[in-house]
Amino acid sequence: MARIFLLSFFCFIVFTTPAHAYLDPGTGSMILQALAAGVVAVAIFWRNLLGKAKQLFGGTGTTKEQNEERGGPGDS
Amino acid sequence: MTVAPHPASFRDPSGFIFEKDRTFYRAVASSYEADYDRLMNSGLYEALTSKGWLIPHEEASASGLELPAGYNLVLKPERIPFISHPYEWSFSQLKEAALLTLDIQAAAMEHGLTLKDASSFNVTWHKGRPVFIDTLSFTVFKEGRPWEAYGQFCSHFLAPLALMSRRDLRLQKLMREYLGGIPLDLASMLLPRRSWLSLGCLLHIHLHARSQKKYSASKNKIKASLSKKAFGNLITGLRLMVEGFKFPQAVTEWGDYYNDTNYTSAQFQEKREVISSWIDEMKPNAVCDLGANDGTFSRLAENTASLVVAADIDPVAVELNYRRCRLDNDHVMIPLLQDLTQPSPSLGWELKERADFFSRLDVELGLALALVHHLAIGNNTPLPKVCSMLAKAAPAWIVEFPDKEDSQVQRLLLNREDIFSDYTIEVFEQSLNKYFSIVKKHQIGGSRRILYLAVRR
Repeated sequence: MARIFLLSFFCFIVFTTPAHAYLDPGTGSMILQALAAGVVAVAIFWRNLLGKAKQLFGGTGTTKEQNEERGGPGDS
Repeated sequence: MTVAPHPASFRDPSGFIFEKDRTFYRAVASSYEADYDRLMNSGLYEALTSKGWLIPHEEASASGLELPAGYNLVLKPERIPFISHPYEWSFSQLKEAALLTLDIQAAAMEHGLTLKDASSFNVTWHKGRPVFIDTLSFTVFKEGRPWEAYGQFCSHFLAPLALMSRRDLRLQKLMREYLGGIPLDLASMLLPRRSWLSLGCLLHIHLHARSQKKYSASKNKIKASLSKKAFGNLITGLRLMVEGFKFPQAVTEWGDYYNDTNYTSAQFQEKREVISSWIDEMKPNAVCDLGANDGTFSRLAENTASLVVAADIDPVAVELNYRRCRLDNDHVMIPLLQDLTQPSPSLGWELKERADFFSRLDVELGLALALVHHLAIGNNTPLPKVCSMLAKAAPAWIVEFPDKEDSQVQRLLLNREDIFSDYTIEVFEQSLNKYFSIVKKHQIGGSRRILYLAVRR
């Protein structure tokens, strides 16, 4: 569902005539955020699903908890 | 006399940076004080500084300082001895700065705050780690409002990382040209077609660029909204994209440097010992190593110095140096990308926003090892000019001179006409003597290389 939306948005955006890029780019970024957040939600959903499926069938997928343990910048 | 803002500090109405008695302060506008209080009282300041993510500060007394109207609060951030800019970092440093920004945004949201801007200049390198320095960048988080810093994050961080990782490391130079962030349409055009198959590049660069173009002339204020959950997903997605950027396997002339030099292991050891003992004698607090490669000799200064700036022209070498720093948990070294024939220039408004490399450098001792022949022969720079540059950069140098018979120098001359009749030990020592006293001189046994300890008069 989100894929169809993405594809139509894609076509809508890609096949437009370029306007003056040096003017306000703020609007475009705002619109894209909403789209990107939606797509990511779907992607995360699928990723978790696949991860659970792997665990169920004997694989060793990394869970969110394991990801968090790895730490980010600032960790010594 | 009212305090004068630093030339780079004018864009943010929340406050400005000024310098007094060689110390930097941040004046906070009264209009911003509410957000500042939120930062301090919400627990966010504590959370970020305890992890070393945000530069800590003290509140300073405003007495004795003539602040302009509308300013009552002054902060004194912890001193950063050497500011480096994003266009000078290695690939992994830039990647970690991007992750830091996202992690700070996520932490801010947990405390009811958000970042107003996501410029890569909000981060610098300090004690071996990336640290966020724009304390006034936080504002209250209003659920539903989109992230106003998103576009900036994409052009300041995602575009250069994608270009460096998927096209060519050298495209990092575009960051220097586009201080406001690499335009997304340019990044989109330069990225290989294959990048359209990467969800992150597709969304945040390619479609984002087209969306910007499409709505650039829009006359209507649109009402876009982003729920807190969607916002969190956005940050997660961006984080996954940044984590996914891999250092490209680029082969440059320096990557295998130390396997390809002309030192025997005995000579290498001798060089190390001599340099170590001279550094111990000089006892410098801050050192720079020009042409540092992967930092092998720069590390010798870490016994005495609290800051070592290791600059090299090769992005692979700087990356290797940085990875070694991470493994060692090195709090002293700053690996830096720098082409000495064209060092970081002054940039920005009135050419004062981003200071040039040499004016930021404030060290007591410099190392110039296996460097002079590259400048003199590789760049056709006469030896007196090389020494003049060194004299302006630091008050004392350990400099290595390989004479013309040295095999590495011969390599540089292999298919060139030898026009370097003035490339001799005599001319080099004369040039050094013009600016320095040669305090020590040591020929590395069995080689055509001489080490000098030179102190500026």
